[in-house]
Amino acid sequence: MLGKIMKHEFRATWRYFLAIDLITLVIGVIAGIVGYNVAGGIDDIPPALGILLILCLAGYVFVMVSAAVLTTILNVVHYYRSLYTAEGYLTFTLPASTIEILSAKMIVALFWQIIMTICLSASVSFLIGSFFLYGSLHHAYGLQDFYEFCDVFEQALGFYGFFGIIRYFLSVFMQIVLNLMMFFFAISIGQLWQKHKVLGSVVSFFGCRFALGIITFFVNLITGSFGMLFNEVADDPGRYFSHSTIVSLVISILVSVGMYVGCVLITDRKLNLD
Amino acid sequence: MNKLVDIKGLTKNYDSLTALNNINLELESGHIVGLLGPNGSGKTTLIKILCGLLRPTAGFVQVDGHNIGVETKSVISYLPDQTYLNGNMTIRDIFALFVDFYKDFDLMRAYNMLNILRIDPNAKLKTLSKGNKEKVQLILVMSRRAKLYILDEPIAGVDPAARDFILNTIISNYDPSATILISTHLISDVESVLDDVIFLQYGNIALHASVDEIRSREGKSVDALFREVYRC
Repeated sequence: MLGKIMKHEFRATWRYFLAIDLITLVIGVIAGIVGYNVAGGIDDIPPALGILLILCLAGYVFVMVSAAVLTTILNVVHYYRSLYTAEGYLTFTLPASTIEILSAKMIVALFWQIIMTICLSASVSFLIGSFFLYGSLHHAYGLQDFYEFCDVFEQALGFYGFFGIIRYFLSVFMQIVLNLMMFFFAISIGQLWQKHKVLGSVVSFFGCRFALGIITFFVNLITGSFGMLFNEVADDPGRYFSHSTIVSLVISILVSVGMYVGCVLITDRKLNLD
Repeated sequence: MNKLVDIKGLTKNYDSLTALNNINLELESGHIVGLLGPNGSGKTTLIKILCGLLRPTAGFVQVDGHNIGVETKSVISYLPDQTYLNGNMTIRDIFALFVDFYKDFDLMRAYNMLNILRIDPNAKLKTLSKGNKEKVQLILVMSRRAKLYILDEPIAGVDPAARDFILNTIISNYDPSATILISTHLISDVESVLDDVIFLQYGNIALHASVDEIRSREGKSVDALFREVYRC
């Protein structure tokens, strides 16, 4: 049943998400082309065109942020509507267990969220890459400069070597999972309210965020993360980011699992469709 | 006769309000049962518990020998009292969904009924009139070969012609070995098709009897008895 529910979830959602993802990519390509063409004459750009380009860059950032936010909103709204509005009458009368129903919806939502992250990364890479491409082709700067840039970036964020990069990507992945799970968990908590369930979900979401912030802060404090940040004899600033990445990875795994179990238990034992 | 529905000591509380109060009920296969009562009597609550959309506060509920869960959902065909399908889906998509999830869904029968109504299977649900939406939902429900059909207010809010279609669809697609539980206020419209009735009042079963028994014992129709029992 899990596969069947996922199939119909994809059918119900692919148009919206694919459109957003394609827009993100196309705008990234356009930004890259513009970036490539202005890269050579960046010092000679007339002021009016410079202002226009800055506005375009601001617009680009706005579209990217909006695409990410819209993807999350669509995921959350679809999850809520298909489970806890009239559509829930169909969803919860399908011959499937609560675990199958919730898991299918969460997996599909996570899939679209990850695709959006990849599209965003690709879009930004097109823009940044266009400057490096221009520099390489016109010998303004070579690949060596790019590698040096990457080295500085890696050192600052503290992901050394293959496992460091894997850990970083895992951390990003788990942050996406955690963010989604927090929305879903908050929606489940909201369902425990007899009235004003949406308000209950919103309050629960901010409550969960606040609690998670407090927990993360204290875990970082206890494990000495902040000490690394202020330690003048530290080897490099990357140690702090490296350590806090591990902390957030562990916390996000534990909290995500807890919230998933919470969602299933609340829905299984306290389902109360209006 | 087989015991299809078995309810013992069923109670459902909403905070301080008791929607169902220690209900005991048994339904056998092969009956058309009217679940009757005024607003707030507990009809929809009982139906939602049977369909697994609501968890009881206390009590024991079994359908076809199983506690409410995946097994019972596969033998119950449920028509809610509202539009419960995604309006952006076409009827063809909805049929495909039912084929995927319900082994007992008869696709040919569904298309035949749709054809009789001259509804385009490629139409999106949101483009249909309220009456046609209700009919499509009824087609979905009655195209299944379920053991228990639960119809919550199937004829409320539709014109008399649509009511006739709905009742005819129920009767003509009714498998005699199955049971149909119909919740409605419009007793006179459905009385002729009912075998048994259940009167709910303040979360309690006020009466559970066959229609013939009521007519012979009380000397009046179910509709007349309902008006008497629930007189304000």
